[in-house]
Amino acid sequence: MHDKIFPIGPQHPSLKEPIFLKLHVDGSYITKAEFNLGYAHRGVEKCAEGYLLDTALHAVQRTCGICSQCHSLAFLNAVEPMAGIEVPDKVYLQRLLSAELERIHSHLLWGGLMAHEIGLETLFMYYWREREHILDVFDDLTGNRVHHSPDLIGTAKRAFNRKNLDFILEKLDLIEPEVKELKEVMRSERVITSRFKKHGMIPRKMAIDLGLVGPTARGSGVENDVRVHDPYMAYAFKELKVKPVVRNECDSWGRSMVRCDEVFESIGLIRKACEMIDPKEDVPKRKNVFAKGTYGRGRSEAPRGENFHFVKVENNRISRIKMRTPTLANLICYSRIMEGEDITDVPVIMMSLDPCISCMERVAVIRNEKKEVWTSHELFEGKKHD
Amino acid sequence: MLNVTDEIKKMKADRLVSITVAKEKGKNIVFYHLARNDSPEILEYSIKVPKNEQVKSLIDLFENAALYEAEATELFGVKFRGNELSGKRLFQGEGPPIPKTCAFKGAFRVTKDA
Amino acid sequence: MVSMIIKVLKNLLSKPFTSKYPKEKAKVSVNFRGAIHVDQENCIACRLCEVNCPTGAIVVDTKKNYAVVDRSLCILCGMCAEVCPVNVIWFSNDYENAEKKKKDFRKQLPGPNPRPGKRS
Repeated sequence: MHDKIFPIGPQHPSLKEPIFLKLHVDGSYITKAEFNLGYAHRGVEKCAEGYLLDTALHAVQRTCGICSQCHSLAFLNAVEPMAGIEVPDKVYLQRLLSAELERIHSHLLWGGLMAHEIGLETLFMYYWREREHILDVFDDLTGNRVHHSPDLIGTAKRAFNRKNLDFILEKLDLIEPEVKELKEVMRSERVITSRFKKHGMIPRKMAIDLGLVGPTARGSGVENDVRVHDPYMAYAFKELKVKPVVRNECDSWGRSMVRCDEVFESIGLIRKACEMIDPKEDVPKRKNVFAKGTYGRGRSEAPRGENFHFVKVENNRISRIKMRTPTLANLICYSRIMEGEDITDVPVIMMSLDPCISCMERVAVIRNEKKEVWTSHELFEGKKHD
Repeated sequence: MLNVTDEIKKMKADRLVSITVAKEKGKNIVFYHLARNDSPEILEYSIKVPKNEQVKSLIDLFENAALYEAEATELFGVKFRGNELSGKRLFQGEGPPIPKTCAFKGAFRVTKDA
Repeated sequence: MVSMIIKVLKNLLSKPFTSKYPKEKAKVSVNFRGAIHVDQENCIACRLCEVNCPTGAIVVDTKKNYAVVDRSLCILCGMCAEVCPVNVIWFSNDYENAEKKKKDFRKQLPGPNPRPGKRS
């Protein structure tokens, strides 16, 4: 029995995220897997400290480029009840439109990268061509393609009018038939399904014991969706009920089909919400808010799972914020599902779990050719303990 | 050593959402957040930890407590007994070594004039 | 399989989806936040923009009595335009903002707003 270590390092042409996987292999079968993180830490939790509430919102929104609106909604769910303000219906419906458009954009990005891992470059380009239409919609609605930030506490920066809503519906009619064809390719082509089926199995009992969230758990039969169990903002209206997409095959194919079907569910929600918005109404002007109490908790449904924010407010400024992202909740299962697989199956399994490592953090200070790791305790006091 | 497993078992929660540490007037407070499958609330339990005290780990009840406790140890210095990851540097534990002929020397300060 | 073959043949015989950048400029919408301008004559130097900026990019010059922006630190979030009581900060569509030297980012862009009353 040989035992060698095969590194899939933080920079690799096939993996798109900076994670260091250490695989113990025997021939080409994996016997044990470990992982290492911390290559992309930026200290976002520390950056938002000491600022007023509206300004800290702009730091929190820039945590991640793909899922920037879900961090904004979780923060507003934590802070708006502390300020005790009434938010009108139109602002809730505008926030739902941005969140569902972001879900479509994230799943189309995932589809393209999955095709790239298998080696089908043309399919990658087809997915990202449909994604360009969604980015044009964001440019028209909010003013920017990525990091759009249309929210303020209690209100929004601008109100959507008749031209904006017509543009959304026109672009949705363009992409819906194309996405149906691309889903059919992923569902039935033999080249793709023979690499997906029966690999990366997560049994239902493991998904419940480890507390997994998002499409990773919904592909194994666990119905776990924040929009259904704890509806917030516009998801609590009667006409906009969400039906969760759940599958019972516990492998990579099941998780991929969950993501493809969620795009159509989001398109239906956006069409219903566009009918409910009154295009002539205006949003209220921005006012200064004062937060009472000390601690606030809020959560929202990101494209990758459940996102939870915990906020401590002192003197109307943020003094500690903790963001528990869905990738951190799912990280515990990475080393367990790789045992017994072949090395060549690793890119497909990693991509079917959809990691977004830029939302997770650590601090490292490099000094005098030796690498040191400082804890935030030591950073507060300015000197290193032994 | 402080023992929290009995209180948390009484809450009858189905899964663990997060473990965080915050400071109040220089002392550490550990917050546990849990959730149940059939109700929309988030349950919370908090405990003050004085300096040089250890807390018993929750790994027997919930397996995903391992990662959250390791992060709390590395950021704030609160030690959890029974968790073998806590105390070891989880993030950046044993990555590839920096070579001796490194191009950058000295400490960096990030200021507006850099 | 058959539908993909038809799609590939259609794409082979039509115009490419990408545009050739330096010859054809990319189209952005009217609301795009490209570069930040401050109308210096009407600024009242109240310092509300300086208090609310997340990065410390906009600073009021006490000798000249108007606000000055360091464009290398600005993240184009729009908080200063939201809180300004006299509406002198506005954004233009120009997305080609690269400079060769770091001190060129302290030069200010032209002030007067061609669409008075609209911020971006």
